[in-house]
Amino acid sequence: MSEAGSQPIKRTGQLRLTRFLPYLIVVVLLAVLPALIPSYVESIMTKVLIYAILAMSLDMIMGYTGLLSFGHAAYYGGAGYMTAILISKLGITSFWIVAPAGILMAGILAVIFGFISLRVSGIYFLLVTFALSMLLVSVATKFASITGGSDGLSNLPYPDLGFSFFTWNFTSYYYFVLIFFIICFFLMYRIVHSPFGKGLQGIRESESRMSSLGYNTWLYKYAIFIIGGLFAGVAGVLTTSHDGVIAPFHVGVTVSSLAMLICIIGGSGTLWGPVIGAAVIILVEYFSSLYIPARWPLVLGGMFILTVMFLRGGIALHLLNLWKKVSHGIHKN
Amino acid sequence: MDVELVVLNILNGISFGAVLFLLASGLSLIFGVMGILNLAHGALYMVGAFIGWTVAVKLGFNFWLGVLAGGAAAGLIGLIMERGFFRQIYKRFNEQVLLTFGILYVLTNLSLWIWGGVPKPPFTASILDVSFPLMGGAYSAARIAVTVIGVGLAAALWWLQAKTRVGAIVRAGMDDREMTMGLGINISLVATLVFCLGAFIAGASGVIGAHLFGVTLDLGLDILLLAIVVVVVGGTGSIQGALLGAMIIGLIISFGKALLPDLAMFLIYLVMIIILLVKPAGLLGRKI
Amino acid sequence: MKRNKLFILVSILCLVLILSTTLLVSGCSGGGPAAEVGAKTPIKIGAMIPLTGDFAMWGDLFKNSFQFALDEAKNQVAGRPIQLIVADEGGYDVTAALAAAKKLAESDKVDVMMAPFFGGSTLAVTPYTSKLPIVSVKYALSATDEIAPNYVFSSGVRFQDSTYSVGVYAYDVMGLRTATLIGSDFSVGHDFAAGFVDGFTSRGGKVVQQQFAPLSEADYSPYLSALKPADALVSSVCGPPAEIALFSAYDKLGLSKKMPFVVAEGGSFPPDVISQMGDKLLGVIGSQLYLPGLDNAQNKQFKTAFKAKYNQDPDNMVVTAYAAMVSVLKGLEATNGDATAAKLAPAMSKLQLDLPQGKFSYSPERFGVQDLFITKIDKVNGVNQWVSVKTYPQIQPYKK
Repeated sequence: MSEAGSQPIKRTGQLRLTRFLPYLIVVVLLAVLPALIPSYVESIMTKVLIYAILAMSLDMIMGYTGLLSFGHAAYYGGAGYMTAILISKLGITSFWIVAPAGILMAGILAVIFGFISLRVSGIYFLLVTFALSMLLVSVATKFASITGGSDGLSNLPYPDLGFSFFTWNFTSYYYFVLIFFIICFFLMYRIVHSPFGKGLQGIRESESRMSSLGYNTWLYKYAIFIIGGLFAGVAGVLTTSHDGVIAPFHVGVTVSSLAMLICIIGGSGTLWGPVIGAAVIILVEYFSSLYIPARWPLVLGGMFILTVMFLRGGIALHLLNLWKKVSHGIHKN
Repeated sequence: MDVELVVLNILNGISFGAVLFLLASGLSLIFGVMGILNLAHGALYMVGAFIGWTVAVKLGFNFWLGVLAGGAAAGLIGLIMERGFFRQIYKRFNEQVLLTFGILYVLTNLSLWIWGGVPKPPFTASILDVSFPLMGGAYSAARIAVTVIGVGLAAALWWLQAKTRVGAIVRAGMDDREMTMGLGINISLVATLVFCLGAFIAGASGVIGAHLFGVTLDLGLDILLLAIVVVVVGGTGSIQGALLGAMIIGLIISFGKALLPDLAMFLIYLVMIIILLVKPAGLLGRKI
Repeated sequence: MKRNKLFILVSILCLVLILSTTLLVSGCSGGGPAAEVGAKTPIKIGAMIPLTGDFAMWGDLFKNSFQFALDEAKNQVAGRPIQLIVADEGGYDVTAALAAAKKLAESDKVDVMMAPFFGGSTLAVTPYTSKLPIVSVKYALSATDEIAPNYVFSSGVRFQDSTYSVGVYAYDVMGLRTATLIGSDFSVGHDFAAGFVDGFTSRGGKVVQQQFAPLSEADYSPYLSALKPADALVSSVCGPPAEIALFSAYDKLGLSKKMPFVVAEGGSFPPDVISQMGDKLLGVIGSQLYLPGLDNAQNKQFKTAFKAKYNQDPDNMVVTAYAAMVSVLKGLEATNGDATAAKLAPAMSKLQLDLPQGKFSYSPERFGVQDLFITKIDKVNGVNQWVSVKTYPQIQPYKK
């Protein structure tokens, strides 16, 4: 072994490698995926990435801060609707305008709904956020001349980036979404690992203690609610081109519950837990609907039940333990 | 405003509310005593309705036997759920959501498999299947019966809770679980009993409410959402609260649909939000 | 205990990994370059059917109807075998239908598609199939927007065309002059209502009130309490659950003594619902696209054969889906097995078919053209059923 002086540096270098290796592997895997799979599966993977962004944004609110938000689809769908309305009804197609507008819409909704919801906490917070998203469903269905009513707005195109030489297909859109996914993941990672993020986790553990330490807990919660809403908006904007249609479904209870289920099954309180959760739920749903078309909800429901029984805390937690054991084993040698 | 419209909708609202109460009472009890938000509760209602239909319509037995069968089936499923899974997830929100959603998916798809997707028409006991004249039109005896049953059950549950030893234990368990256990009371047995009772009521009310709502696969989620609103408005853990909440919601829905059909659901959720902001424990509830 | 859990977790992960890899790899082998128009290469027809979700009650029915048509043609056309690939379109979730369409088109490389049953999903899917391009056929009643993109057909008539004649009949034959209407509050319910209103008012009638309830409405009593006086109650609610709920409430409130019940919904109250609801339904008027009692050679043979095979009496849904598949097969026959959209679509447009519901063809707008039957629920040989009281022959999409 070398001198004691150089040991710490070497250990830190190794530690850093072990910490970032999984991320590196995943990014590389995702990048080469299109070469390995047929193009329609790319479309499913794109959906996984979009829901991963949505679920991660929810996890910042739910897993890290402990706020049970059950109406998260409101910001996702709200952004989607803004984008769709601009394209379909106003003829504004440039991505550089409609995308920020959509995200802004999500942010505005989060500002309003967050303010209302944060007047209560716990299960009541859950119910208020839920009720607010249901209000949005009514609005989306009612104002049919703007929103397309219960049929929604369809025939939505791929993003108009302003480059005439560029044509879209499943593969190019997959990479487009992948880039956003990596950026969002990076940003959210920095947020939750910052002092602000640590403060959020403190609030989750004990809000009264944080508040007696002098933190403005209400502001923290409000801030992360809006930030989570903005990232959900990103997912919403990306989904308009992927689905090609926006309907009241996108602000409703199905999407909200799916986002929550993904967080929980993947492992809330970590950032990559929801990513795994998205992959698991969406891929299981997709493949079981292919092979047992009428019975796939049984598979999904069964998976939820089994997870509660065997994988308490989510898949991510158990994978983390596994990884620790593996890297510990590597270290020993 | 037309007198007939008002009278009809008061009656409609109350009978609608009675069914909601039947479902919400179970939900509220389970949440109050066990701290579990049982999202599969609506599925129990649905399964009870299907079983009751099979017994009372398909096999042609007595309607009340169907009610019992529906309740028993739901109670049995509830027992399995509670013994098998629920005791591990007390006050663990994440697990509750995942588990109850999983059960909801499974029960809904199994029901689709067993009974097919075609909804069953409303049915009720043959003596109740009459209308008696009311203000130039008629009103269904079965709806009146539903209201009577609902109020009757409310009274029975209230008496159970307020005037019996078991009720006292349940209330104690809701207020302070640890202390109750410390007093040597087998709180887990009480919890199981409460859960099964709630499940039984859910299944039975599926059959009783079949006259109003028919028997469809949507029941699982649709009615659950309304029941949650009722529990919130009326207050968790309180029988009187559930009854009050159910009546309020039933009346709002009936009048809302008659006068402003576009806005009825919007109104419901708005009321829910206002109550949650102003009096989160509900109108008559105990704060959790 | 922890060891056990770890073991289970690892083995599940390995299983999932192996499974997904094999699935993905097998997905690759499903494709290849676009199927050439060779002599023996199979023609693939992709069918999006509601196997789960809100319309699952009809899923198997559609599958059987398609299969029946294929079996009749001995599963081949112009010397090429036919392969039917079924996918679940889901319920109201249009994204599920779109994913199913993409899978059928990209992975299975189907040549023709049967468009989703649910209108909202068809709206989302047909622009996509039109761009590929492949022919897609909606196998139930539909709206103009759904089949607007190129190469999209609808074997079902337009929603409002199925009820226009009811409005005409109500005025001309029933002698009604005013009506109050309750419908389902989404595009299909509004279309049904619009058809009746247009037909009724074109003769001089007046619709004094229209109320629209959410699709999932279970309790119609409040709406009935707000009815304005009129000669009849017209129902444009959609689907058996709503039909049952509305009629039950109407009956329980004693309204059958005050005003007759007229159904303005193309095809309603299927036979099993009629038998369950009993004699209260007698006298109800509606419109149907098919009746078991139709007196033509096609129907006599079709009825017995379908019942023998699937133990089920055919109805509106069955014959419309059957018509869709038959028109595809006959079109392929005319093009000698060439499924390319540019050849198949014109061939289908020219078809003149004799089907169980009578003569069938496609209008210039690509809607199905067939007879429309105004029907009444009557007791025949002790069984309550829809009975034809008037036929409006070969109805085309009306212009206002």
